[in-house]
Amino acid sequence: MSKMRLLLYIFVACLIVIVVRLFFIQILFASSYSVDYTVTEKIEAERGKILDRNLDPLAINQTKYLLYVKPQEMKNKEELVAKIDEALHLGEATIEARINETKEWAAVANSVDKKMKEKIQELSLPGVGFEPQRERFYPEASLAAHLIGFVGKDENGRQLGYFGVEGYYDRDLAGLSGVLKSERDLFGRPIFSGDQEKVAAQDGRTVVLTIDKAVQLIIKKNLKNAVEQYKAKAGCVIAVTPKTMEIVGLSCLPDFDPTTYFDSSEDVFIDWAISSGYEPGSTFKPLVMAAAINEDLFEPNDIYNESGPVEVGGYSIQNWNDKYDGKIDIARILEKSSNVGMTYVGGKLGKEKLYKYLKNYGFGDYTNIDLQGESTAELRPIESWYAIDTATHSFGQGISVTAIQLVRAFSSIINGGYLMRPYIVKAVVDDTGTKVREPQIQRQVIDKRTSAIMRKMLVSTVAHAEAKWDIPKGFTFGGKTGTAQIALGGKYDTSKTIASFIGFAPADDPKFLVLVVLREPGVSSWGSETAAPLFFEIAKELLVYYNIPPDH
Amino acid sequence: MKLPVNKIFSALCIVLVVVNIYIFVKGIALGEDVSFYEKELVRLRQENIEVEQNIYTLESITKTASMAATLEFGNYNEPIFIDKPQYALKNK
Repeated sequence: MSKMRLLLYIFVACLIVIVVRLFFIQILFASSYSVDYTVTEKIEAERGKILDRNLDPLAINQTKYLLYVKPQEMKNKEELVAKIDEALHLGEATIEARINETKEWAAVANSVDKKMKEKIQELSLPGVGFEPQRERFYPEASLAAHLIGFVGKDENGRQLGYFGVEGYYDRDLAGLSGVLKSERDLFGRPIFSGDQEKVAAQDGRTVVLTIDKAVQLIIKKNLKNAVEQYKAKAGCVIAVTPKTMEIVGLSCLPDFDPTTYFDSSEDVFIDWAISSGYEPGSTFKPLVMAAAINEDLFEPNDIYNESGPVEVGGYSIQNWNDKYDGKIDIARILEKSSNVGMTYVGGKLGKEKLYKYLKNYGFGDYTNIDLQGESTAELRPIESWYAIDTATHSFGQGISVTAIQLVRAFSSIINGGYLMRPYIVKAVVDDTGTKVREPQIQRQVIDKRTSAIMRKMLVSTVAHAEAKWDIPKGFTFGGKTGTAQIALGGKYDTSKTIASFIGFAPADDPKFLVLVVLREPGVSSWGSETAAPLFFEIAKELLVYYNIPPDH
Repeated sequence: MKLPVNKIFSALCIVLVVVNIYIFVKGIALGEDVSFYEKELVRLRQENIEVEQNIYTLESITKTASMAATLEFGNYNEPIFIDKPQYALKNK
């Protein structure tokens, strides 16, 4: 056999070995071998930002790190535990319990920030590693906590928005994850001639809110001061543009920091401006008055004889101060917040029409505000009304409303009669462009003439109110106070009230409408002594901020 | 003239082997480049997020308000305020 022939046999033998081996790898056991070099990576989508109306950020993303330990690689467990505890202060027992030595990998701490990560990395601890985690960051902390909500995890550990805008617009904000499938060599480098398959991630949309963070700060600062000053259990302020029902500010206390939401109790997550019903008290009276005027039952100058308490369905209805002025005009009923006067107005309107208007104002229904967790409160069906209900509903007792329902209804009586859908997101931005949301009229509740009359009556109500307030000079305000007792176990507790004030300015062409609600103020139970001063403090700053000139 | 088939075949084989080795080495180098840019992209994205976070924290109105309070800047030392409407009327 020649040397050349021997060489040929050797080559052929090698070739056969390679072909057989390839047959095993590529045909017979293809599935088990493919994972070795085909790497599939999830490309996380960036969660969309939340911006205020001036495009200042209210929610962005940040990177934190998951600290993990590979127990097989660590050398001295005690030393490792002690050093991690020195940096993170989690407690040695906690860290030790988390390092399960029977496993290959153990998560030790979540949300480790960059500085801390670098500090631990400097220790060069064998077996310790970090994995980046994308988290939400709220630069304004708790400034608009209830409006924005927060991002937590679902049952599968995926990010999920809860409450507020984060909850309502979760699908828009979350985006869609992508996938990268690529063939890699032993060192993890992509094989250039191998298969590469990429489905790009679609980042979440950015949402632009109607909120102005400066207005939000004005509201929150004053609300915080008032809650402390009046020793109230809670408080809430909503500011809107009455013509469009854009929410420009909403703050409720107590609140929470959405970045560290897990440090707060679950009770504070609920935005009671949209989720909890309460009896509105006298702030409800203008709505019933507007209905009666719209039905041409009265003119503001018509005379009513306020002779004393009235009996309805076996109950005696009195004024808040038990004072009665005899012959007064209809406008004066609102000025002095007369319960017996409103009983008369409600009686003239009648049960059916009163119910029809309450439904038209949107009570008992969702306002469809774009925030997660809205409730309808309760408007009992007309069939279950007793005789006393027509009377009590006329002055805002015996009916439950949410703050946002009241603001929407009140806006309708000063904006020309239009019931608008309240909204918080002004625009949604993605790669394809910007989708701008326009104000949406739901229906006309009262006519323009009635609306003009109501604005004048509400201006007169502020000007001739029983209480005197520190009203900014040169400006005309309209508004109404409210003090509603809280029903507990079927009875009203006179010591516990919800004090409120709803007002607007400038009176002729309102730029803002603000509702102030204080729950169980300890210093005084009256809306005129707690909520109203808070309203004027806020209004004073809003006038400056909006650069509204005095009108007289 | 008789063509030197064996020589041409051998030369072709050598060229193919060299080209193959070149493509293989080039492929590794390009793979390394892809790997480098992948890491760089992650790093830049990360840096961008961190810088953005720092900027927005410094720009936040909450921080500004807190600094204003520390520096005792408030309504009482603001020269033009709502309690003096004549200033506002002047600009009407």
